[in-house]
Amino acid sequence: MFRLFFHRHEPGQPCPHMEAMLNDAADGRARGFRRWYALAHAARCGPCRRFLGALEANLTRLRQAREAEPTPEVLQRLELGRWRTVESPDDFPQT
Amino acid sequence: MATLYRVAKRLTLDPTRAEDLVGQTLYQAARAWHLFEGGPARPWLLKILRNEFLGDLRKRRARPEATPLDDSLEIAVEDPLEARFAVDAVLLALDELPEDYRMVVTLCDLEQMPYQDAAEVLEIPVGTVRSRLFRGRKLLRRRLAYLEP
Repeated sequence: MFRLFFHRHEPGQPCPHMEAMLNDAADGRARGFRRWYALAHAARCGPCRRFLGALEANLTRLRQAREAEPTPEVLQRLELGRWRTVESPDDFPQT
Repeated sequence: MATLYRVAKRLTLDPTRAEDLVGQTLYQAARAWHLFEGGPARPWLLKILRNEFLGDLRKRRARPEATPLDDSLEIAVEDPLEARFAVDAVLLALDELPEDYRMVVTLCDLEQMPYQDAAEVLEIPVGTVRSRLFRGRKLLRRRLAYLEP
């Protein structure tokens, strides 16, 4: 139990042994005890908390960026590309 | 289609080349559709896209153009203050990552693809996907440190 919140980090850096778990907690891949452990550790460790916060913020920005492109014009050009000239089976994925 | 374009843009760092790459990918995919073994089409299409990109890269290296490829990979360093929105900034930072990291972050974080699918597209082990992803995110965070409170 004492090792649960064991901290070992360089100034300004997250604890090295927590990085993978914090990454998994940030993107939602960590579940159950693993997620609880990561969040509990971050709640008590400043550098890990900042690391997790920055990770989550960047992941949110990336998700928002996903909506920004391609523009409808680009999409339309891609839809009308020469790939349509290929004689392909009818069930080729219509993107 | 949108996924293919976004990944192509991250690979080529050029909107025009990205459109060409997606067109070429769909052309090859339509021709090879009989070889598709079923299942989700996205990883299969992305694998073709990556192979087309690598093939194109090899051709360009073998036959240098007036503007060498390396020039296109150089990203102009912009004043962070000019990135008006954090979303623009994150894409800018993503495009500055080394290609190996950029691809993994693009597939796993931008496209939210499972590690297994990303590993299949990139033809690398899942463990390598994870380590590149974590390293890529770390580099991204370093480049976006100015956005942190």
